Amino acid sequence: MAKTVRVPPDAPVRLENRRLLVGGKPIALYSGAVHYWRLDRPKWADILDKVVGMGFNAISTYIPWEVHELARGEFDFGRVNSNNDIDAFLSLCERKGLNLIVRPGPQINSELTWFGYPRRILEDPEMQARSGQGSKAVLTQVPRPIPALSYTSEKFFAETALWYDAICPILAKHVAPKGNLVAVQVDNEMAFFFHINPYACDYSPSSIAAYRAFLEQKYRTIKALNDAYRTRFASFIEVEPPHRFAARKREDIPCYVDWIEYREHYLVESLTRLAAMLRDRGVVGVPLFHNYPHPLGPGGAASGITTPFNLAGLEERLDFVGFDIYSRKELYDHVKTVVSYVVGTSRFPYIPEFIAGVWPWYLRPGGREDEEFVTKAAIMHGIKGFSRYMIVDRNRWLASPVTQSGAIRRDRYDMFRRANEVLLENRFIDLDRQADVLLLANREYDRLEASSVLVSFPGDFLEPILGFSEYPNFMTTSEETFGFKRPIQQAKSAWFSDMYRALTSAGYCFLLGDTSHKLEELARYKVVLTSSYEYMDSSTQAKLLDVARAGTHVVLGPEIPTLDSLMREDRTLEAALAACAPSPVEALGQVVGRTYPIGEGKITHLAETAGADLASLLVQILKEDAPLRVTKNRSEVDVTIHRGADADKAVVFVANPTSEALDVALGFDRRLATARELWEGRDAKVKDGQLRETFPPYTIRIYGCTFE
Amino acid sequence: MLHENPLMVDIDVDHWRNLQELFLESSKEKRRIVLIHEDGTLLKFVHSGREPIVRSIARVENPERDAEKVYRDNKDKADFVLVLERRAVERYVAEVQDSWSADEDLDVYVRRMYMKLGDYPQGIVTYPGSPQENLGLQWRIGVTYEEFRGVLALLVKPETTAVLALFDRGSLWASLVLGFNAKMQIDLITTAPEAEANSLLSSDREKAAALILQAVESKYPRSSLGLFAELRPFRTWLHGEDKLEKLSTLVEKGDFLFRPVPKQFEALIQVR
Repeated sequence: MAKTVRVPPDAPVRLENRRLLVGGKPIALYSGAVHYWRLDRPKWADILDKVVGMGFNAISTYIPWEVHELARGEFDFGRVNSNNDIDAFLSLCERKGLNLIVRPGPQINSELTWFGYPRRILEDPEMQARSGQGSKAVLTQVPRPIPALSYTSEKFFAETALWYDAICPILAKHVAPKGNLVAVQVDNEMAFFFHINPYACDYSPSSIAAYRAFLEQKYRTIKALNDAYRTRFASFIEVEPPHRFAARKREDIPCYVDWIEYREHYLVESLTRLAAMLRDRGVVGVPLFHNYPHPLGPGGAASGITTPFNLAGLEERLDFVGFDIYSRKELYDHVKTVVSYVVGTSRFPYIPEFIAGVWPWYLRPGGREDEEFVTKAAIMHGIKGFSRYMIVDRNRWLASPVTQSGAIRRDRYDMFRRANEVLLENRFIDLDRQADVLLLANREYDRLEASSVLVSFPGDFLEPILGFSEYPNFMTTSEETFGFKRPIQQAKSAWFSDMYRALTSAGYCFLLGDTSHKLEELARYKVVLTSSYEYMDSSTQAKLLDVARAGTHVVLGPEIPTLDSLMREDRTLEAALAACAPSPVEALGQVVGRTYPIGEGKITHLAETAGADLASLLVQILKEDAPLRVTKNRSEVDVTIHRGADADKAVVFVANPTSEALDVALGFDRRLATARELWEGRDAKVKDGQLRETFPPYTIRIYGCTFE
Repeated sequence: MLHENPLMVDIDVDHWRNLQELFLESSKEKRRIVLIHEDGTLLKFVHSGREPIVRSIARVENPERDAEKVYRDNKDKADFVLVLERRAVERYVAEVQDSWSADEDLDVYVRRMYMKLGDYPQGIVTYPGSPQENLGLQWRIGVTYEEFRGVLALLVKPETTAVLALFDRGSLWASLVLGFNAKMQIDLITTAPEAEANSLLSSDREKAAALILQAVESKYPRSSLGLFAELRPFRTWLHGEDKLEKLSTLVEKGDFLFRPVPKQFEALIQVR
C-alpha cells in the first residue's frame, strides 16, 4: 500500500501555504457543481455562462459510473447519449476559462438510485459489507435503499478498476497545464455508507481480515496484544472484533477503542488505495482530495469531527481533505465547529460540498437568507475554497440559483454573485484567519464515546427509526465509569462544549484541532486546550509536555492522567508537573487549578471549574500569553479577524447568531480607525476606537478595517 | 409505489417546506424519555432534552407496564416513553436489513421496517401508542398506507398526474404534482410549474385551478385528479374522521374544488 499519493513538490498544481497553486500562482478556488449528464447538452454553454456570471471560476462535477456503464466493461461517453460526453463537457468548461474539479467516485451518491454504482455491484454478496449481527448493512435512502459495500473486498477494487480504466484516460487529458483540471476527488463521503454506528458496519470477512492485520501492525506481536487486552489469543487470527459494547472495567476499554481506531484506518487505507489506482491510470500532477460527510451531532458537532473520520491521518496520504456542509442559520455553531476544525487541521481548508439548494428529503430546507448566513459563516471562520453544491438544479435537487433549463432564481443568483464579488474584490485569497488559541477534541476519548453506544442501528437518510442521531450522544452511550471518577465518554463532550462557549464568550479567536495533531502543528499556537482524564496515551502526554516546553501554554483538565491508553501506569505528565513549582489558579476564593512553568511555556491544570465563570477564568489564566482577543459587550456575538501583509488593515467578521437583535460594541487589540461593511458597501460606525452597530437576528457582517 | 428512478425536478422550495410541515412528523423532535436495558438491567434512563425526570423504576420487568408507569410519573414531560432491550434491537435491525431486495420499492421496505416493530412487543416499546405510531418519520396523511394505495387505485388513472394545491388567504401555500406510470408507481414528484406566478392567482378558485392544471399539463401528463383546497379546512379534514362524508359539505362551501372530478366522486359530491 502506497504511503502517500500526494503530488510531488514540483507538480504543476500543488498546495502551498494553505493555497492552491496552478503554475506556481495561487488561485482562488470558488467552484459550483454542475452535472453534465443531467442537463440537455445544447443548454450546457448557456448554463455555464450563468455560472460564470455569478463569479465562479471553477466547475465541480461528479462522473457517475452508474450512468456511464452500459454493461460490465462497456461504457458510454457520448456515443449513445450525447449528454454523457464528459470529455466535451470538460473541454467546453475550459473554453469558458473555468477551472475543473472532477469526482469520479466510485461512490458519488448524488441522489442517484444506486448511489453511483451499477446496480449489479450493490447486488453482489461478495462485495457487500456486513453488520455486527451478520446481516447486510442497508442504508435507507431515496429512491431505493442500498446495501453498504465493503471497501476491503478485492472484488470491489477489481470492479472499480474497470471503471477507472475507462474514465482516467479522459481525465488525464485535462490535467493542468494540458487543460484546467486542478483537483480530483477520491470516492465520496466515505463513512461506511453513513453507518456511523460502529457496530453497524463493516464485519465482512475481508474487513475482519483487515482488522486483524491492523492489530498486528499496531501491536507487532500477539503477546503485546494479549498484554493490552488481558487475553490469551494464540494468534491474531483468533482475535474477534467487538460486536456490541460490553465493557465493564477500564481494562476492557482498549479492545473496544481499537475497533474504533480500525474504522478510521479502514477509511484511510481504502481511500488511499483508490487514490493510488487513479495515479496508476494517469491522473498525476494534480491534487487528490476527499470529502468526509457533514458531521452534525447534537448541539452543533460536539462530536463527529473526529472518529470515524481522521482528517489529518488521511492528509498524510491525500493532498487535502474537507468536510461537506449543509446547514441553516439556526445552526451557526455547526458551521463554526466544522470550518474551524478544517481550518485548524487541513493543509488546504476547502468545503467540497457547500450548500446551494438541497436534496428533496432534507427536512426543513432553509431559504436564501439561510444560505447567505451560512456562506458568510464559513468564510468568517477561514475557509479558502469551496464548491457550491448544486449551483445548477438537476433531478432530485431543488432551490439552486440556476434551474435545469438555465433560468435564474434572481434572489439566490444575486446572493451567490455578491458573495464571490466580495471574496474576489477584497482578495480573500491573500488573507489568513488569525488565531492564537487551539481547542482540541481529544480523539481517544471520542473513540471511547463512539465505542460505548448501547444500541446499533443503520444509517437512514430520512430519519433513523429509533429517533437517535447516528452520532454517539448522551442518549445512546454507556454511563459506566469503569472505576474513573466520571463517565469519561460523556464528560468529555461537556468539557469541550464548556471550553468552546467560554472561549467564544471571552472573545478569543480560536481554531479547533484534535489530539492527533503533530507537535509542530500545536506549537504554532500560544495556547492549546485539551480535556484530560485519568488515562491518556503516552504519546499524547509526551507531546503536550513537548509543546509546553517549546513555549505554548497548555490548558488541560479536569484530571492529570496516571495511566496510558492501555490502562497501565504512566505518570509521564504527572511526574513532569511534580518537578515544577506551580502557582495556584483561583476562582470564587477557591483554588481550582495550578499553573506549572515548563521549559519556555507552561501547563495549567484546571481541576474543577463547576460554578466558576469559565470565560473570566480563562481571561485570568491566559493574561500573560496575550492571545488575540476581542472585547465585546455581548458574549453571544462572535468575531474573527483576517489579516494579510498590511499590519494596519484587517477584515473583521462579526456574527449575531441569535434570534434577537443586538446592539454591539467591539474593541480590538488596536484602536479602530475606520470600518466599511464590504457586503453592503457602506461605512460602519466607529466611536472611541470601537465598532458600534446594531445587528438584526442571524446577521453576519464583514468589515474592512483600518487601525490607528 | 415509488418508482426506482423518479423524476424530482423544479420543486418550489417554499411549497416543499410547507408540505413537509403539513404531512411529516419527526419523532426526533418529540420530547422522549428513553430507557435502554439488557434483560431488565437498566443502562440508560434519560430525557431527550436533558430535563430532570422521575426515575420511578429500577429495573425493566414488564416493558409495557413500565413504560406506562414512567410516562404517568413524569406527567407533561414527555410525548412518549421509549423502552429498548439491546438484543431485541439488534435482532430487529438485522432482520429488517437482511430483508432488502434491489427490486423492492422504497415504501415497501420502509413499511416492512415499521411493521416488524410489532414482532418485538417486549423488546421495542413505546407509551402511549405503539412504536409504529410513534417512531421515526411519521407520514400524517390522514389515511393508512393501505388506504392511500386504495384511494389512488380508485381515483387516479395510470399514466396521469394527480395535483394538490392548497391556498392560504389568497396565495398558493403549497402544491404537489405526482405522476403515475402504467403500473401506478410514482415516477414524478414536483410542484406546480410557475408556482411563483400562480401565487398571485385570482380569488376565483375555478380560474386558479384551471391555470394550475394548464401549467401542469403543459409539461407533464394530463391530470386525472386535482384537489384545490383552502388550507385550514384541509388541515382539519386531513386529521379528522369521516373524511368521505365531509367531502360534499366542503365542496359545497367552496373550501374544496375537484378538477377534474373523478367519476367515482360525482355521486358523492355536488359537481359545481
